[in-house]
Amino acid sequence: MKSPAADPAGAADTSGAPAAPLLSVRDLSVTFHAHAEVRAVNGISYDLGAGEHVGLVGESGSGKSAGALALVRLVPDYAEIEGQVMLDGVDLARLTERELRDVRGRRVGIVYQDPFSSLNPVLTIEKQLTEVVRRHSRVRAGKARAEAARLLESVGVPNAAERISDYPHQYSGGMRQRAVIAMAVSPRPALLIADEPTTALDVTVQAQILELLQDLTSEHGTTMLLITHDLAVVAGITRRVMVMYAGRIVEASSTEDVFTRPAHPYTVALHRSLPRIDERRERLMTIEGQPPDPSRPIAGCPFAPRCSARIDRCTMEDPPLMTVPTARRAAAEGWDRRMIREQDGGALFPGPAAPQLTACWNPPPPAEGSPDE
Amino acid sequence: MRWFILRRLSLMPFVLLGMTFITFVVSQLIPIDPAAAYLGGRGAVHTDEAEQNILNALNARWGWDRPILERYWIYLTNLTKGDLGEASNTLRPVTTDLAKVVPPTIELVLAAMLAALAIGIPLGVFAASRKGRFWDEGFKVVSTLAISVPVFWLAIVGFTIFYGRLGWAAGPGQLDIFTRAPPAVTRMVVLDSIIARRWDALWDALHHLAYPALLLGTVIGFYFARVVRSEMVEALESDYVRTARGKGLKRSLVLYRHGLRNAIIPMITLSGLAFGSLLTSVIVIEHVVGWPGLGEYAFRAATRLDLNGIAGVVMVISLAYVMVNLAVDLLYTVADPRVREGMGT
Amino acid sequence: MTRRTKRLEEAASRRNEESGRMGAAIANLRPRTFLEAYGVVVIVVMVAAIAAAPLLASDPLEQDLSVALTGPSADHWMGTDNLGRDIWSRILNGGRVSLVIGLFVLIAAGTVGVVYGAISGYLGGIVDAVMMRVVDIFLSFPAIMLALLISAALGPTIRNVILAIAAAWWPVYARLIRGQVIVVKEREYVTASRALGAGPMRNLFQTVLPNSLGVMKTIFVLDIGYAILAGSTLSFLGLGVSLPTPEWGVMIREALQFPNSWWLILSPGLALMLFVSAINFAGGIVTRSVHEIPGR
Repeated sequence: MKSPAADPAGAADTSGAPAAPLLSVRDLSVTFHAHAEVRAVNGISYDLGAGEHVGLVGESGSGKSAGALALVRLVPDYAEIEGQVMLDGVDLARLTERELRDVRGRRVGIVYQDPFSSLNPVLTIEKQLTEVVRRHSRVRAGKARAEAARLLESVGVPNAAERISDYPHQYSGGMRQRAVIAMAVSPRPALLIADEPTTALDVTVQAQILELLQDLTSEHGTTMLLITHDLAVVAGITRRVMVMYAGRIVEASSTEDVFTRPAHPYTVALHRSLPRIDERRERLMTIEGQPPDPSRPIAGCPFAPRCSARIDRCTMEDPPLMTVPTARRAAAEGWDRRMIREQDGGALFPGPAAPQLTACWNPPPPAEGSPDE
Repeated sequence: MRWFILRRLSLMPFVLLGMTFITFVVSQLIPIDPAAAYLGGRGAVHTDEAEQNILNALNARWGWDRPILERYWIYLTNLTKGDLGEASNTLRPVTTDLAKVVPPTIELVLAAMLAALAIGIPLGVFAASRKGRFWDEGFKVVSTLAISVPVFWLAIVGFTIFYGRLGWAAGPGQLDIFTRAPPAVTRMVVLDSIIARRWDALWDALHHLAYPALLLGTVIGFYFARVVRSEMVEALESDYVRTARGKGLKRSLVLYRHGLRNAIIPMITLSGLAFGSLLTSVIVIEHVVGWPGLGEYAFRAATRLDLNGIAGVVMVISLAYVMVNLAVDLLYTVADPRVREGMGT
Repeated sequence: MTRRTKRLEEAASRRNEESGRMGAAIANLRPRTFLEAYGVVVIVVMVAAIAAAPLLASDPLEQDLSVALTGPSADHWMGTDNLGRDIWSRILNGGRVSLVIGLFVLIAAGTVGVVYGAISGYLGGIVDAVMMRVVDIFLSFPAIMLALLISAALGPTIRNVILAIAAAWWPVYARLIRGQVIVVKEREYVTASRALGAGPMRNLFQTVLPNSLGVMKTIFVLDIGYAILAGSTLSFLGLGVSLPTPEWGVMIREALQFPNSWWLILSPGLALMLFVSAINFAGGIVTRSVHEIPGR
């Protein structure tokens, strides 16, 4: 399988993604100018093909939400966005606020993390649904209300015709998230950004919401960027996964590879902190140390201070983006690799090619040729 | 809902009782000699017999020489008959006085509140939507000046300019001396003019009302605007406003339907509280433009140590306070659906 | 010394750490915006000018009827009043009275309110309930009526103006500080200091109170401006400072008799607004030094 990841130089490597990507992000950076300057997203590049479901995984503070919401400039005033965001051939980063308003909702729908705060507490669900219907398809009020009721029913809110006139506080968390999803998918957007859609919900509801997202996006061929801190969430839903750490994408691979053959030491560490049913583990491993302070410039690899495969070079320059094929090739060719020491002995990952290696530096620098052959 | 209102209204007699008690306590705590004050003096400097006789007569007339508890008892028994006693500053029953001075003040305060809302809300929203930028900084300067300016001075300077120089504002009082007053029904001249279909009087009354109401409204309006601004800034940073923006809604819809609808809730509480401190400005403004209202009456009653008059004023103010707070609570339930739930039927 | 006492001492010293933030808080007192700097400069200049009034201007009471009611000129750059007294001098000397009123109202109302509220909150129970009902009584009586009544009953002197306003204001401070004390007295270092044998009064005034004053500082600073406004309002209504003492409110009241001499009314009002707004502009600094914990 080929890697769809783009190399850090910014030249699109679309080998894995369909020929013309729906969304093409180049060197996206988000800097918050608050009391201190915080660089939340630090030059990320990726492509999303039409209809593709892609996961964006990282711990809180890794910049994954800021990076996704910055696509449609839905960040506070004090955030500065740099880079290129091509959606269907239009650079969203260059649109005016007014032009962007036609993209938000209609072309890009968003499901937010916290359904308790992302709905307006003083307006009925009906009002909040109807306004998005009316905004993007010029229909009369009566028709918009009927459409709103149909939408609410389609996302599985029981008794939708009646419950539509309720206020958000009268809904349960899962129902609220369903209402938010109804608003997001109502204008049939090409891209759906789901920003930790299940984090604030009960475990029992999480699966239902994920299933709903899966169904709705598959039905309409919607591209979905599913943001989560939980590797398990992306497992059944997305084809590809991008792993973010300290504002950078450190690994981009197929979901299968991320689970079976993680390449970057950080991804490996993430796995170790995940509970598993197929293995008996006395306690979950935690990742030692803290993520770097985003208000300070980072020399070298941001993960280096916490990395068990660190070499001196890591603290001076950032290694190129890891993809599984390159790592595998590195393994095959027997370059100078560093092994992650197995503290509990057994193999970490099932499967034949259980790769304990994370030789970030093994692939030759991109200048010497494509790393991906 | 109806029970809620009834329950609150049934508290009113107790509030009145409490306020009379407090007035009597306060008048005991302060060394007041109302009889001497009536004669224009302050302390017991009157030593000659003739003056002493007058003082005794005055004391006997208003019962000021009796023990406080007895006075309080008499006051309470009269109160049950709707009698608030005689005001020593006008020599008329306090109820008669109040019936005359309260309506003009209601008229003034209502008009001022309308002006304050009309000025304060858009201004606060405007400043919040431009947070940190030029107009917001400008708003910060002007609103700080507005809450720092001595109201009495502003009232005089404004009156000198708009009445004295430009002639835009009407003169003192509620009506021109040449305008025949409409028959007193509500004693609010604007309303009375409408009832009597006296359009000339209505125009004149509105003209007279405009200056004090706009002045008071502007001063309060800036207070409101500062609160609206800070509430709006918070609302605009909230998740639900981000959701609204994420839907691609128009800016005005995001600001007013999503932002302001939430920012307005604390504003309602504030206007209830502001009402309590409104009296000072009302006294000052009525004083400056010669508005024959409660503020001016309160000022005279207090400075002439007219205990019955003071008690009457305090009672009216606390009644108004209870009513305003009831209105605030009712408005609250309209503005915030979460509160509506908790209140039952 | 047993280990237990040592632990308690450690906890008690945490209190000092908390008040040790004061040093850092002062470093935080530097103005950050133009408006804050402007406020500080205006306050400093005005206070200095008011303090140096005898050097900067003639006697505010000196009459010269030959120049009565003249507008601004080289000799009297703010003009003269109906008795030919220099307005500039009266503004400076009147500012002294206004400042004294503002400061002393705060000192009087602040001291009474803080001590009363602190004792009430610290003792709690029935004592607290009774003490707070007294506060309620004062709070429910319209403040302006109380102030008018008191100054009318006692007569128009500077002292009585201060008394009148302080009497109307102290319950507010008592209420505020009581709330703070109730929170602070449950903190660890207070229990520790009590366990170390500090008596209730010592504990209250040395441990609880200093740590309860935080938010109050902002309120006190901003209220100086409003106390000055309140004092001049009473004077304007004829109940404050009486003639011939120059005071900004009284000067505005006097000016009413001469509506054609605009300079009479303009300067005292502008002086009031300038000073009070400067306090409000600079107020942000105090708010920040209290609410922001520096060094984090």
